[in-house]
Amino acid sequence: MRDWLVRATGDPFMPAIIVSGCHSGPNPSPGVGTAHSLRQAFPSARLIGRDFSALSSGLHDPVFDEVWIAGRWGEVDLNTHWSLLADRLTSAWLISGLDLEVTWLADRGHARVLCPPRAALVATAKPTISAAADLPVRLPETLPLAAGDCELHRFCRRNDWRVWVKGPEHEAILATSWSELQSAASALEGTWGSGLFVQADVSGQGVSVAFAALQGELLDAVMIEKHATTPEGKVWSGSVHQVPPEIAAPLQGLLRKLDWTGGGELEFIRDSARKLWLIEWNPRFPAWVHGATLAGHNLPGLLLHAASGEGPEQRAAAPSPMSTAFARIVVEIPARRDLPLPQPTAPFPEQAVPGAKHPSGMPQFAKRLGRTEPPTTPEELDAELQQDFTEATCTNTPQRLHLRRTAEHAFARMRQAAEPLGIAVAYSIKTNPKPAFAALSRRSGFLAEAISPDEVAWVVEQGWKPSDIVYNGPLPIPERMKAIPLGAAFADSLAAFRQYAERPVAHVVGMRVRPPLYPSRFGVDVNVPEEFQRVAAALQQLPKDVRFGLSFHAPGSEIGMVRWEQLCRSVIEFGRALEELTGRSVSMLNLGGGAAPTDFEIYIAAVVRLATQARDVFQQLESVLIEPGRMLVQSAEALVSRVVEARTLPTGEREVVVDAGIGDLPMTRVFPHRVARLRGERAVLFGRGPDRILGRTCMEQDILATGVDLPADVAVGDVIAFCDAGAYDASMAYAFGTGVSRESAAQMVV
Amino acid sequence: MPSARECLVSPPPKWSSESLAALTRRVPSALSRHDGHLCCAAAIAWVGAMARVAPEPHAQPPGWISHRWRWGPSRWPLTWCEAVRAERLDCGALTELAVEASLVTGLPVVKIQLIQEWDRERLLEWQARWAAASVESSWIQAPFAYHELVGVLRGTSVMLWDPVDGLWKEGGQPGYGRVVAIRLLPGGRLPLSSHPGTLTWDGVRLRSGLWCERPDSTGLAANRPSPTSLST
Repeated sequence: MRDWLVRATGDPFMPAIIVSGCHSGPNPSPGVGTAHSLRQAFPSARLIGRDFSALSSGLHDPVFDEVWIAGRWGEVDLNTHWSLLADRLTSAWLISGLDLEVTWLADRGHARVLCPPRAALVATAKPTISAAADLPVRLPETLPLAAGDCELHRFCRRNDWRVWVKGPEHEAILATSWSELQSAASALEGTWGSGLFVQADVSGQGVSVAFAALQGELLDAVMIEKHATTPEGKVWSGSVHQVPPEIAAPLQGLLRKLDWTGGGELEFIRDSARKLWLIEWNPRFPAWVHGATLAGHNLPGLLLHAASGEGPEQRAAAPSPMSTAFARIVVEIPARRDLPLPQPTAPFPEQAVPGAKHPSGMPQFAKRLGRTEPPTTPEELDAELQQDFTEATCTNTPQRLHLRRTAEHAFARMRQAAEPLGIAVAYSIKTNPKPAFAALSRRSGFLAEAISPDEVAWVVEQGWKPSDIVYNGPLPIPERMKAIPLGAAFADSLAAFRQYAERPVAHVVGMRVRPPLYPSRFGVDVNVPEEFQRVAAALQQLPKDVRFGLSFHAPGSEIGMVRWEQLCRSVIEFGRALEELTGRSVSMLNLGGGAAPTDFEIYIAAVVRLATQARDVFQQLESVLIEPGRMLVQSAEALVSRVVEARTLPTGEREVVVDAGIGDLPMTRVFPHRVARLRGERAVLFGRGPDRILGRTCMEQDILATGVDLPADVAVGDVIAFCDAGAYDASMAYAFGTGVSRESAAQMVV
Repeated sequence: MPSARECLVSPPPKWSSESLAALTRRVPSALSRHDGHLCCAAAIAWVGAMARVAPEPHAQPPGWISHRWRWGPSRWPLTWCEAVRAERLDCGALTELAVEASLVTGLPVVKIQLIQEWDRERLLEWQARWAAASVESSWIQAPFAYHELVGVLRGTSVMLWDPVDGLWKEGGQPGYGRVVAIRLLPGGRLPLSSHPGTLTWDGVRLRSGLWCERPDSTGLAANRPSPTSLST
């Protein structure tokens, strides 16, 4: 493809500057702002706007004397591409606003290309940004996507399910659930290929530092505070400030060490404690660079002045500041007659106009650069689980394996942690109502948590006394229920609480609380002041001989353990307010919610802190009760299936179909399950790869695992185990595609 | 920081306009209680609990109040239980809630009265809103409007935080809604005695209970610059 050059009439005038990356959209490149700043410093300069498609709208800006649409990155011969550019560089300078182009240019080492050297780019590359060690800033936690699904899920839980899935150079998508993360990863992998990572979200105010440097010497730097941003976080208005000395001084030393040439931008989030978190280090000027020029800091002008040795026609170093703040606006300009507009938008724009979202063709260039993902080592199964698989006998598939050693280990671990702390444990029956787990619970001295009269009846059958049962469901306890008084009963509504108070159904009568900032259908909504007043009034009516309790349940694995703990604290604070208002004491605090087994230490630490706070606040507190379910039994069962078909796709990826389906593993899209092949006496986990395991039913979503590395010899008849299937995968499994209706299944149970 | 300027004190020898003088006579808003009933005690306890559980960063004013209530006419006298149930509250009620919430969390705050200058159209719009709700609007005396907000004490400085929009009010900005006069209110649970005569805002020395007219606020209507900010 030939380069498209639009030459201006008239004699060329030095200096000529090629400004690369001129798109002007909601996510703009810095070319237009850079050119306007250069124009201010050098009114007679020849400015050449360069980009890689006519979709780059900023090329129409009359600030450019020439427009150069170079061949697409995915198509051109890079050597020819460079020689064309090098020809122009005999009489021109180049300032690139495209990160990947900067990377490519760094290897060329041309004196008139004003960009940092390769070593500096390596030191400032995402996600590690090793150079930041010299700055008084923090870096948000990151994890490569290649680390594997279980690690990713753990990372997200630890960061309260607010993480950014980021491309290696560009683009970031916020994910707040496992399905969102998978969707974001899939989209970004499709655009950028490999090298993706997740980064913990940091909340606070956006702050950036832009600078210009030549051969390690800092020419000037400026800080902006972002006052308005687009949904992608791009600044739309900002105020310009001096860089604080605690950043400026080390930055100066660092740039010297990196031998930095060119523009640069450090993007920060300033948190509520005014600590700076470094999110990005961009090897180019920011798109808002002209905002700094308006405030008297013309960074591109200074850079060219220093590099060329030519004095700016106006005082680039200290232009008169027009304002210490700037706003970005949208306005139409005449299109250049000699520059083709993109084709009119087709019905399916993303398909019909390749590159519409990335007019400079960076995705194609990224793939061309061919980043390779480091190989991953599959996780090792823990000893108990491996032993369980060794002892297991799988005759029929699909089959749910009870993993005895793993279960015993989980229950013992919980008992050993809770007992010395004086914290009571109630096994959440709904998680998996199997007699084996009931027996284990009773042997561990756990109470039973039931959510329905049917569960209460089952619990009594298993040998628990009514006084060892905690009732905590939205279905009010019926008048005819036999097993009362229970140990404790928590009402889901004020109406139920009043009923329980009138005919005490339990030694402790309480209510489930829905704290502020937690959308839930359950519990009494104390976020509403009228409801809070009604709670207080109802509590005043509770007979004096009935003890009062508060309950809160939320899935820590889905909202994150930090948030779970914060919400529990909210419940304690509302309990404090109720005590002060009514004079009634809180006797029992019940904290429930599903936490992942691998969060055990985090969970127990949180429970200890909460119990300490509760005992401090509630002087009459008799019991802190936790209700684990997932943490005890999730790893204690595996779903075993058999490969019924193995396929190799034309692209090389492999898929197997197994004789289990989504009805056997209903949580498959909620959290990742470890997947292993059982061979002989050993189970070997699959690593991360491009392959998939498909379920047996005819539902599109019946995909039991994605992103796995199937062994080369996987074949029909192989036995594949889906681990971590002992919690809601077991209790919520359904008979789909088996010729069994819900009614007939119920009759079979009867 | 330049040394603090002395302000004019109330009653000043001569205010720059009669409308301004009228606004300085306004009594600060105060929520009342239904004594002997659970309702207002529960409302105050609820505000306290909400303040303690709100996700505000340490030592920051209660932004949750700005998110929860929209600004609009309140009919006075107003009780605590009526205030927490309302959908809209005026600046006086919002400031009462914000001060209570701040004190619960240990943030040192005072109540602040302001008089600001506005453009005629904005004042007419507010008057119409108040009239539509059948609430008197004597807080508007064109070209001025009376406002209440929270003063957060940082050392010897007072920073103004507005519970209407949850934003810090920067001082000294010209144009739209510029501050003409300010009064720091005494009382409350905060011992102001520890700051006798030493508190400043935007370089102006404030004295508890006394109106301070900004020295550069004369001739406002004639020299009003163009609007530069939309914050109210």
